[in-house]
Formats: sequence, C-alpha cells, structure tokens
Amino acid sequence: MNQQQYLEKLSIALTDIPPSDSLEILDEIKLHFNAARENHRTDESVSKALGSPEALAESILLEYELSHSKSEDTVFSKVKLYGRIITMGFKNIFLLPIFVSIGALVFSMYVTIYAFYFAGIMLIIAPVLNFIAPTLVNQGPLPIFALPIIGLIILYGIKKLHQYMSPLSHKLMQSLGKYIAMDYKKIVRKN
Amino acid sequence: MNTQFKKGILDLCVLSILADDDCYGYEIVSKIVSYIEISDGSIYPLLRRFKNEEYVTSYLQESIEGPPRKYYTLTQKGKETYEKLHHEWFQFQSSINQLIQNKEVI
Repeated sequence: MNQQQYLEKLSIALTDIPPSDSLEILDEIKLHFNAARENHRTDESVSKALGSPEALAESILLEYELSHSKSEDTVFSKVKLYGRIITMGFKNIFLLPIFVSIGALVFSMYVTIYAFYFAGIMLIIAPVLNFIAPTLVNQGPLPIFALPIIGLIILYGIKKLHQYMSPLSHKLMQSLGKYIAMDYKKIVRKN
Repeated sequence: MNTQFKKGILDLCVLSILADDDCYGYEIVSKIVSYIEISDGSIYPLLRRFKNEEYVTSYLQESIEGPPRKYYTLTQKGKETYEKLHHEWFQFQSSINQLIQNKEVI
C-alpha cells in the first residue's frame, strides 16, 4: 500500500488514543516515508517493512496504556485492574478461592454502598413521590418530611464510608496484586 | 534470531545507536536493520516509550533535502540506562559463552 493508504489505516486504528498523541505518531510515520523516498525506496517496500498498520497501532496502544494506567483513577480503570488481578489469580490454583472471595467481598461492599446511596436518594424524593404516587411511599409512623432528613443523614454517612473504603480497598487490591506479582514478575500488566 | 532475545535487546541497540550520535527515526531504523531482522515499525513505539521514561528527548532540525527532521538524543537518565544495559549484556554474554564452550557441538 502507499503512504496515504498506510496513514489512513493507521489513523483509524489509533482512534482510541487522544488526537494529540495519534497526530504525533502519524507525523513521525510520515517523516519515515519521506526519508525512505529520499533513499529511493518505494512506498510499497516501506509499508511492508513497517508491518501492518494495525500491528503498529496495537503496539502504540499498548505503550499508551502502560504509560497512562498509572495516573488513571476512574471506576472503569479500577474494574479493569480488579479484573486483571483476579485473572492473574486464576493462574495460581491454591490462592484462587481466596482471591475470588476477597474480590467478591469487595464487590459486595461496593454494591451495598451503592444500594444505600439509592435508598438515601429515594428517601429524599419521598415527599414528591408521595404526592405523585402515594401507594409507593410507606412513611410508617413518621411525618413525611422526616424522610428526606433521614435520607440526607444516610447519604452523608455512606459517602464517608465510601471515602474511607476506597483507599482501603485499593490498597488491598494492590497488595494482592503484588503478592501475585512476586510469582510472575509483572505487576498487573498484560504479558 | 529468537524473538525473545530480540525484544529484550532492542532497548540496548537503540540506546547504543543514540549514544554515538543523535539520530532521526529513519536513521535509527536503517542502522538497526543492518544488524538484526526486525519490523521497522517496532522502533517507533519503542522511541515513544523511551520518551515517556525520559531516556530520550527529541528536537527538530532543518534539513536541506526537505521538511525538518525529528532528531532523538539521550538524556542523562538514558545514558545511565545504556551503561547499565551494556554492562548486563556483557555479563550475560560471557556467562552463556562459557556455558556453551564447555560442551562439544554434536
């Protein structure tokens, strides 16, 4: 394939990384083609020597992920992290039940926390809900306006618990990961 | 050449090329390919990694033949890493040589 085709395919394969990074790479490959042409090589031979644009993009993506996973702190990246730890744990059959249990425990604690968030929110909107659909709300012996107050207390409490939990569970997963890594020489990275 | 060897040794090769002189991407690729069989494309992710790990920095230099070229140069950290890898490679190489020299090749 020629330079244009190669760069187009490479650009498509690099859609998952930020445009500033992918532009940098595309520029560099463009310079590569230019320099090759100065040396009287055909685009065809250059494309072949570079390898498929998909393969090149793959290694760029891997490199990007490795260098950026340190600073990522989203929920999804944590899920990926836990997933990788548990998967690596599968390799070591003795520890498998322990890792799965711990993973399940941490997971269920998070489920509980989010359930309480939900409950808190529902309590807060209870007065409105009572107005729209009274059958859904069971206030028991309490006055209707007590419910949002209870809701707020629950939300506050659970937020504190979440803040407390988060670094703890992260440290726990990290030390689990390091334990596995002692055997496998790589800390939560793809092999 | 064995793929596993290649992956580990590529860092040393690129650092060694840059230790002699600043080079631009295509230059590095050409030099390496004259010694070992690798895909030209593998050099660019490696250079990105070197940049992220602060082993190299890059600068643009005007060229008579066309657009400015992106030159790579070793940082102090890069030089130290090169020396370390260089040393490790020689130790490794001499150990293996000793091992295989003691055996007869059938």
